[in-house]
Amino acid sequence: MDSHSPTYDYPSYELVNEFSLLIRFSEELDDEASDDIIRASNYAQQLLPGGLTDIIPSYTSLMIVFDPLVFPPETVKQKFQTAWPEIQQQPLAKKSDQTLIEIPTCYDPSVGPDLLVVAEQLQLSWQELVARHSSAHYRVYTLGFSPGFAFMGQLDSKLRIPRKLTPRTQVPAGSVAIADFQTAVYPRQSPGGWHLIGRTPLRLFTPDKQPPTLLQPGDRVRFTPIDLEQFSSLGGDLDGGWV
Amino acid sequence: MSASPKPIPVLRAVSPGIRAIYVDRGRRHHQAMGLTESGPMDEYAFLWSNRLLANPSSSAALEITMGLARFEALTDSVMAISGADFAAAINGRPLDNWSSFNLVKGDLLTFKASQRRGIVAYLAIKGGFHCPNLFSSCCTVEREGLGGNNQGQKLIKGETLYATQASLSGPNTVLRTVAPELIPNYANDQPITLRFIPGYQWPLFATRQQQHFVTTAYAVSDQSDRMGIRLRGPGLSPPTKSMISEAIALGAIQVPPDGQPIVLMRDRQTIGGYPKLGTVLSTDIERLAQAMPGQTLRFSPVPLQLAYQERVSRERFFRPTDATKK
Repeated sequence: MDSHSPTYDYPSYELVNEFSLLIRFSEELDDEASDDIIRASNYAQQLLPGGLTDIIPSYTSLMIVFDPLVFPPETVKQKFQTAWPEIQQQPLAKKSDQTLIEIPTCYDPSVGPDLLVVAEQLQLSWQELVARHSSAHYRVYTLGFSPGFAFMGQLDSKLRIPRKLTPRTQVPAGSVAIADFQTAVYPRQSPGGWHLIGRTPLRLFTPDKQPPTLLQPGDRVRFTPIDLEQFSSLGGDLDGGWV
Repeated sequence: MSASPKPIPVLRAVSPGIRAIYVDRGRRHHQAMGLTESGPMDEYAFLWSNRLLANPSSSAALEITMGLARFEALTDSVMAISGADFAAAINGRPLDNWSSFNLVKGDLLTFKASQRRGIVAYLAIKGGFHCPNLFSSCCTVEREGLGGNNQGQKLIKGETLYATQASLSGPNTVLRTVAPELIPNYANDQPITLRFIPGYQWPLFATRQQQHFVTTAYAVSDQSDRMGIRLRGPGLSPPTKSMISEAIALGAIQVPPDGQPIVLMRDRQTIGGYPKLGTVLSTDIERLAQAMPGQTLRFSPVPLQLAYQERVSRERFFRPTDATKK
């Protein structure tokens, strides 16, 4: 730690501007902090009736966006500080403990253009890479980056690789990707800097469905290997190109 | 339950210009799914466009970037313009900016190219444009393929714009204009000052870096968009400590590894991991949104309380129109 690093007691509360409160629950990624984020998100509505504008959970923190005409910034901060003991006692929906969502994934170089290169860099056979990626259960920590993009972790320590130095300008929808300790699926064609190791035919974001996102924070996820034929018969798009 | 009023065609986009999109005050309550907040780049000008028509403050208006748009009036209506100066005219007759005006069926409403006084203009109509809400907002986000009338796409050539039936009622609307002292100067002849609230990561930057940041003149880069305004200047050295991704507030000043700050704007991604110096005041963001590439600016730290006071007077000024329509 250099001398500039501040130390915190968690949770820490910071008004980042006149209508946003950032609550940080932990320095490091852990499931307990992640559960507290879900608890505080669920609790926010009753704490700020008529004045809550948005809730943005992420790995170790939660941003509360509020209407400063209804609740002044210091009031919002105090409300959360005071309610913390109560928030910690909130039960979590059982769903996050029980449901395991399966994501059928075709690990084939024709739809996972980085599969072979990444395997080589990690000094694994591509079969072992697939076996390791598809045997773990992942937790959805947060959604962000683009609609329905779920950040999942934590990746097997043998599969960790920094994101690409130069992001692709075009990643096909459904691409299953890894970077650092994380794995994710790109919900729609977009630029992206993660390594593409496979593709799923599932839709991660459907605006007119309820809920619109396939995955929610707290969900447990497993990637199930399928072959190209199954991928195609499940509606997977073999043509989506990458650049 | 009364049937929702049938939308009426009011304008045809003879030329949609470089980019015209529907905006309201933003897409709220959905950032947890990864949807961007969106909303008007220049909120002040947007709010005025609706206030000039005594509309509810979040009524759908058109945000026109860099001008060059032409519309044919398909019916009589009352509209207002505000924001960047694109030398708007009706049938070639110049219109006052920051004013409401009458449009008669068959009129041609034109916006010229940039007059080097601002980037985005707002065109509002009495009662608001008719545009379906998706996730509680009409805002068009091209990157997400969401909003507007074309699945997230900007206005296209020949497209018809609709208004709610309410738009045409009350033909005796008084025309209004914004008082000159309330109209911002968007010309880039003087450096602008962006006030910011230093954040919890501010102490992670070395003291010399902090001083550097508040004493250096930056210039707006042309690599800017609705997600963020990129700045160019002597580079900063961001802390090497890796940051875990977290939610990004409107106006966050992030410093990527190249050391050139980016101020995050309306279409910013919901979470990100670059180190941040702090957050630009929401009431200064709109001036930045109107800055031409090359505009010079400086940063000045202020306390949160000042930001709060300005925000509250802003909301009190513009939101009463929601309740008390004159």
